[in-house]
Amino acid sequence: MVEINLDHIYKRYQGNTDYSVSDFNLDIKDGEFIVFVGPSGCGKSTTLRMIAGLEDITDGDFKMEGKVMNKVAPKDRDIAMVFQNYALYPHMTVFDNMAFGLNIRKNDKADTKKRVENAAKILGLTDYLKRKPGALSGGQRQRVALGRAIVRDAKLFLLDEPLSNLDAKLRVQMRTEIAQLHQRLGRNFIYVTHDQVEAMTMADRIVIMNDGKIQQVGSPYDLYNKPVNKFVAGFIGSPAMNFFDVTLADGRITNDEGINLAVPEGQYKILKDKGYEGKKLTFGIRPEDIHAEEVAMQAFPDATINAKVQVSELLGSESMLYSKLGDTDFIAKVNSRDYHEPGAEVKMAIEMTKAHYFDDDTEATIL
Amino acid sequence: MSKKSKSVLGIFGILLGIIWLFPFYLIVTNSFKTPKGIFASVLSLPVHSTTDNYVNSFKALDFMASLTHSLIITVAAVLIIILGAAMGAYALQRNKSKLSGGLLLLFISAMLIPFQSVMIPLTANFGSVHFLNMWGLVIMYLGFQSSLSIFLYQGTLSSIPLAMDEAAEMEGASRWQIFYKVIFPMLSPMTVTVAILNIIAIWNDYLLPSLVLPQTQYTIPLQMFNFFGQYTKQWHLALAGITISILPVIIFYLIAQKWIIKGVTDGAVK
Repeated sequence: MVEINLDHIYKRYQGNTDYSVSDFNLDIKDGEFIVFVGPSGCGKSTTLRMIAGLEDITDGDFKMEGKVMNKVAPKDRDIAMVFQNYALYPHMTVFDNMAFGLNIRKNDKADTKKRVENAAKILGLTDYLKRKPGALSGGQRQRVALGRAIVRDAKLFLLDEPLSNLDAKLRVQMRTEIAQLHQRLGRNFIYVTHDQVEAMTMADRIVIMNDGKIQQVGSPYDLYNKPVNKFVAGFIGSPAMNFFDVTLADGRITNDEGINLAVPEGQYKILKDKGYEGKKLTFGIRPEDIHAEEVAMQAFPDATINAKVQVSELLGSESMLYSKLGDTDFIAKVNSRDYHEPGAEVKMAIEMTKAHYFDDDTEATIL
Repeated sequence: MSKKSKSVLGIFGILLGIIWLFPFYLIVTNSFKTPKGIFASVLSLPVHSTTDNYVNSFKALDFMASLTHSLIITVAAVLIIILGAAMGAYALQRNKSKLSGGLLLLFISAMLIPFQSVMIPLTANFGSVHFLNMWGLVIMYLGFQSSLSIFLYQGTLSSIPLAMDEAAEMEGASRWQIFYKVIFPMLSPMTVTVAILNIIAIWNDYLLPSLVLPQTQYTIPLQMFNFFGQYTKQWHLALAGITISILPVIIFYLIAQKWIIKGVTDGAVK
């Protein structure tokens, strides 16, 4: 049973006045696959490096199985890490790369051989054990880096953007392999990425960060459907959620760019109760909840807009309409039958039951 | 590149090669001539070729003794320089601080000090502590040659990502193990360069050993000077001596060539 607690962790680099990570609070259950996601410089890699022991923790406690690990050297933490650039030893064979940690720890030679061969079998590297990293493809190098972590049989696996150097196809393949590996090993994984698709597809729970702070922790489903603020709503989902500045009055949200939409009764009651009548707020709608088919106009007659398509992409089953309403850009993801050429004026219907509302000042979710 | 300019370049290269090789031709051919033969015609091939020069030169140079001295001094100095410079550069490159920056600058500026300006006080100081011998010389070389070597290693180290150190650290390696199991092997192309530069400089050096070494510890270049007296120059012996003395360096080159594997760091990252 390996429980990991990050207890009010702070990180401030020497010479900086601001904290790179502040008040990071997270309890990780045994065998969980956690993904840290956020834009560049949000503190996710720093947090991972603090867990690894490669960075000092300025304040707060990092615990494994209840024991505070802040001052424990990286090598004594029983943590394996996969680096973004793999960090393979170029002068050693694949076998020696994978056996390095065990050899350093003076592990029994026969056991090392068994463990390396076993890991190689899992990762499909058996035929490459005698090669050097220079003679491997990107995907194979990535596997060697994973193998090096596997043979250690550590309690916790840290993966720092491990797929960012691979091409798109390989990335999808390795994503599945890593997820399978996690199931097979049953160990805790902490995975850092800036790619929300990776986060959504692999995680048990996602930790979404911005400016060194946790924005929200939750399952992919929760983050997608119940974002706590505008940042999370905009970060999770591809393409991103569309936002419009509107004013709420008399059961409708309006702005001078052409939005005049009826707010469903239930939503309006809540917004009104929270005191937003007559106030400005941010209205959010996901691209897939904007429709361009005729039947949608009939279904939502009170929630239509007339937008101008700027760029359109036909992706096969669906098409993306990069459109403009007044000065606000937005994206509609519509059925490919409703494809429109750039420059077309298109009437679109908005599925208001899927609407999100955010406070204009705090950017927190109202509804 | 057009065919014409290619052939022009080729001819230019061949000419340059001939100019480079010509001294070697002179040395080797004349080393097989008698003194008379040399003065009859320097450029011709030997008419009455003789190997006596080699036998006599070998004896006159006290070759085995002077070779041993040259080898001891060169090998000891180069090994210490390589190890010291690699570790020093590693420490300077990985510990980013004002002190390390200042030290590196100090090493680089030390390269600008002309040797001639320090040789007299240096030998005087070493003499006052009775350290004018082979080992004193090795220490002096360590001082004179380390700066360039540290500078060269430092440049290579900055291209080795810190993730290599961190990966090894996570796997349980100590600081020393990280250096000699991971970093130093990755430096090997630069180590070959550093070794060659230092071997050439130390093996061929004449001035510093002439100031430092007692006659019992003379190196090959010092012994060679015996052939050039004030009134006579024994070219036939000197040329045979030169041929013998460059053999060890050529042998080293052939061995080292195997180690100069281009792109030994391929595949470390990405």
